[in-house]
Amino acid sequence: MEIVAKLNSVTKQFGKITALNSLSLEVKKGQAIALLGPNGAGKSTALSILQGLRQPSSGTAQLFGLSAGSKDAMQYVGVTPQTSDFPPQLTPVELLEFAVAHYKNPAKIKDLVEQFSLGEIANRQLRGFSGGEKRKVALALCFAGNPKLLILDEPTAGLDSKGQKHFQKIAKDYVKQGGSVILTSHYWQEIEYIADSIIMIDKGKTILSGKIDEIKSAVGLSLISFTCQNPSDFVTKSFNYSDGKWSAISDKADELVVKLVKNNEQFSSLNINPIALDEALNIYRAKQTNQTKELT
Amino acid sequence: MKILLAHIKFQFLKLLRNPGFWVPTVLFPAMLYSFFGSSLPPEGIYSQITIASFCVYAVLGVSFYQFGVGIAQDRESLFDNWLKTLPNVSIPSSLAQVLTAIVFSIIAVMLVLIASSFLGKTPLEGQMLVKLLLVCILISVPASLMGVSLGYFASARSAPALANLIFLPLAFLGGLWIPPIQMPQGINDISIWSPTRQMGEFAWSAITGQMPDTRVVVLFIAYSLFFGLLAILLIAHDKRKRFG
Repeated sequence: MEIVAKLNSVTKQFGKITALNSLSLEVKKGQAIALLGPNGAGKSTALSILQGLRQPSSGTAQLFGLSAGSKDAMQYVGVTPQTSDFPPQLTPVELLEFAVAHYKNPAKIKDLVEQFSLGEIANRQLRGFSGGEKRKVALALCFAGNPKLLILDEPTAGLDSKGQKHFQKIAKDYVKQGGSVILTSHYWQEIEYIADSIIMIDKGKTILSGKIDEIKSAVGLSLISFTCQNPSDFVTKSFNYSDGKWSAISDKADELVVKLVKNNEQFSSLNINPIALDEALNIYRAKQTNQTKELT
Repeated sequence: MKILLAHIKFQFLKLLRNPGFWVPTVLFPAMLYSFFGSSLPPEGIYSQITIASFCVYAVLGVSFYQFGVGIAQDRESLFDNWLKTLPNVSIPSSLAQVLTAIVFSIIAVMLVLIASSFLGKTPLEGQMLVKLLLVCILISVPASLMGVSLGYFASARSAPALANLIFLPLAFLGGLWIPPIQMPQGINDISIWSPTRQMGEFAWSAITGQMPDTRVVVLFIAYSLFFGLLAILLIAHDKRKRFG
């Protein structure tokens, strides 16, 4: 499958500080990768190198087989701008007109205005826009060139929950139609919804990578939740109660359900789901560390 | 061409809708001339020299604020980083900045000339006007390079203050507000070496019809080269620091 973005053993030093340490990653056509890691892990540096805003100290960065940041490569890339410094004198439509002028095959402004629900604010100057309104404009700008790759750095920060869901659906549809995404986000639900794979970095190095589904199934845990009237001792001891629901994380979900039935518990709204990504990653990493200790 | 036009429109809208830019830079020279300049000198050539001085002051102001303050603010703007991710952006962006600076300089100069036609004791005549406009374009080269150097040297926060701190004394020192003949001797001795004095001398020569002194021509070229080199070094330093 076509590789749209590639970092090959990229090291980036800022003086004595090593921001990236021989980091490699590949994003293929139709793939959505979440770049995870604590603050200062090197996520922003990696994205800057892919956008051509920074040069690697060693290693290579490519987009569509071309040098990252080159004008030909950037024809196919959409990047979310930071909203804090938007020129306040311009309107969203004027900004979109400006952006689309740079691309050979741009999106239609009318479509972008509609897709990102900018109708009411489209012709108002950006001064006085709320953070959420500016964010919507930023996301629309990202799609101005009909990109094949989106580089989304905290795309929905500042958006309300409705706006977040709206954008997440747009991004998911984009991936379904063959677009590729590199995403950073603090919202686990967003990562899980948009991305199919993760790369976790710390101190500039990859510490974990893989497909989200595979990581979750390797962890092998499920979250069981249900509502229950008159819970027995078995329920109160085996499950936690929160927000009107009893829940537990277990690698033997089926056995727990059988016990609930055998005990004649009056339960309803039973759900068995894979555990959330953040919990799965913590457990997966702990497992990996233990295996390494056993080997040594 | 499409990209260049987009950048020109972008720059114009940004500046036209920002009174904080065009009131002090585009309107102020004509206002200052109307309030003070027009009443300063006696009739005749001194009145016309004053008009030329305010035209130089207008070009200098636009260059200092548009390039000096504008670039310093853009350098620290995260939105500017996003602009750099657009394809084919750098040459059209720089060209648009230069073109808008030229247009705003011409507007600022024209406003001074319009004010002088009403208030000046001896307004400029046809040939003088043409020569003066050509000199203003020439002057905009070192003036812009000074602005660019300031923009790549100063931070966004310090740039407006630094621009005032450099621009206003330089305008005074160059004899753009008070004719050199009225300066104290000590100030005049320094003035003849200042970049703005050379700009002024060029503008005044458009009025008197005499060629500027060799010293003026040499210093004008030397300052242009110096600020050009300084701008290149500061741009390279900034590029290494921000995008290295």
